[in-house]
Amino acid sequence: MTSWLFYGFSAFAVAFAYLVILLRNPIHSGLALIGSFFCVSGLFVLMHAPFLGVIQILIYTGAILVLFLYVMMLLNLKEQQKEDRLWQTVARYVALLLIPLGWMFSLKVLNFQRLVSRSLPEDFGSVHSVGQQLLGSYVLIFEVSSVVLLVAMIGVVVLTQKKSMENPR
Amino acid sequence: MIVSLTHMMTLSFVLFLIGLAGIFIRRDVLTVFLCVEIILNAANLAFVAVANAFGDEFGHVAVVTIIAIAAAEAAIGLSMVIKLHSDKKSMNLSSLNELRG
Amino acid sequence: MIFFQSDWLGAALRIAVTTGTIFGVLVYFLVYAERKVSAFIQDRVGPNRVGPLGLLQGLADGVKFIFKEDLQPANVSKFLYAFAPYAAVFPAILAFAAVPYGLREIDGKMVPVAIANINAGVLFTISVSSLGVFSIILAGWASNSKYPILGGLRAAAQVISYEIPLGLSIMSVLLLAGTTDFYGIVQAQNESVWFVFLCPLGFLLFLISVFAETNRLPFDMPEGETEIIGFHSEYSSLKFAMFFMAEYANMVTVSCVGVLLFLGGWEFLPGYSWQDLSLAIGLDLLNHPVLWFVTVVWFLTKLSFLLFLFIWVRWTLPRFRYDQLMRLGWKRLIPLSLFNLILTMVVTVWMVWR
Repeated sequence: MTSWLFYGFSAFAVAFAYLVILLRNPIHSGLALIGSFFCVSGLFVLMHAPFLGVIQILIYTGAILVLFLYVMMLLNLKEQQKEDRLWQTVARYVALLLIPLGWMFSLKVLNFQRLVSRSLPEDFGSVHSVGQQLLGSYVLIFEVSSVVLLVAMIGVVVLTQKKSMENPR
Repeated sequence: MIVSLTHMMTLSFVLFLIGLAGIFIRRDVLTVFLCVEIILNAANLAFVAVANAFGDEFGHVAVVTIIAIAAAEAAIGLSMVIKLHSDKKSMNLSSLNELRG
Repeated sequence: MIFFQSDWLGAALRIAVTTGTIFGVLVYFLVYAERKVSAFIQDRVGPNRVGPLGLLQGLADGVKFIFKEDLQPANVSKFLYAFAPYAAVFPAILAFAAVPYGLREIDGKMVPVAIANINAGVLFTISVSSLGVFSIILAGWASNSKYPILGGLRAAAQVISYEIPLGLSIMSVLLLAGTTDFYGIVQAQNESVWFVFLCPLGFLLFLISVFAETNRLPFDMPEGETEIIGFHSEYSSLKFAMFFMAEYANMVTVSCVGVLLFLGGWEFLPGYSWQDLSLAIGLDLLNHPVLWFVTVVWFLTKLSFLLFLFIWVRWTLPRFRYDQLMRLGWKRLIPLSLFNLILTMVVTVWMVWR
């Protein structure tokens, strides 16, 4: 049962990811990406990472993709026009062909004997245990990512100011 | 049937390849950003699978960090997209071929 | 009876009953109460023609919605136009999955009555209900019309902005309780006091942001039926009814969360639990089979108080202007909720050290 869920989520994640790069309308691509993220979130839950599963939905779909769709709506994007040259079309099909090739290649070459979803401690991946790690052993990473977010915030404020571009001092 | 780490790593690799192919074949900025998100997600998946297989929670910490970085990247990237739209009236990456702003 | 012991069937039954209750009963009576209370506040009679006391008015409205023409404007993005109402209803139903609404005893253990008891229940509920904003964006964009896209932009910006103070005020409760489990939070309130007394500022912030999140007056910019055009202007018939129902279902869900986080959930009175009551009346309520019924009814009582507050505020306060709304969100609520969070941290650390 569990392994069927694994393969089902995986198949849908890959299918939605394909849709993201094949659909011409950016908003449709964004929606397909939401589907892919939901499947990956399901995989996280199956792999004993319930906290990450929730965080994935809360931050990736609930915040980041909402921002993406918001910007798409703000700019009111039209469908991408076909203005490709010949070599771009060829490159497109070559790139798409490479994916199944890479799939087969990695299935042949990768060989990990370890199993996913084996028995683990009861609270593995729970809010409590990840929080202990995040604020214990890896507190430096935590602090650095908070600084990164602060810098991003300041950067966005600077970037979106109108005056700074028109008459730089 | 039991899921081995090989299968999860393969899934992660395939998602990574799809994201990479998307960056090459799509020409509008926002979809390229979406493809970057797919790649980050593939990395997250690999981290979680390895964390699960080895019983080590560092993978989860890494994923939390990656998500935070992705949020920062999305904010900066989208503000640049809005800037680009107001300057060039185009979302196409090919219109970004000049060196002077 | 073997069927009812099977896990899957039991779960399916619980889902069916709970979802049916929310949509069939709670939302129905909420709409009815909205009309009756508004009529009372404005010194009118309200619906009184269909059925006794106008109780069947909702049914008549439902029939009207179903039989209206399902209009689809020209040049809409067909898939997204049809998809948006579902994107509104789906999170509204799903968010309720992790919300417990009573207490019962199984094999000597106290278990909350809920569809699913999830460890990170609070996080789950916030994350799923935050998905509702997609329906606003999609409906606004897919309608291919100027007014819905403007309304959708405004509404989406409002919902995104007010999610921040909402999350921060919920975080202060998580800090006080030390858990992300609804049951654990109610237990923590049972052991100390209700969190509405422990952090009143957090409750106030929660209420304000929840009003904005569910697009209720004084923040009903997204709807503003007659004066301002909202994101669902191009929708009619059942599709519009789905947006309408999703809004009321969201109100029910966030009120449940408010009751659980701040008003002690199914606990009896502040500082006076069911245990104290059963000692006082000499009846072991906690091991009584009627316990779940009593707690659910008590929970519903608190819930209806919060829902009444929603309606009361709606017919008392005038609407904010859009710039005032954004200024309130970003310049007042977010700093205040950060201050509230830091205050809660200090209090928590002080309580641990003492």
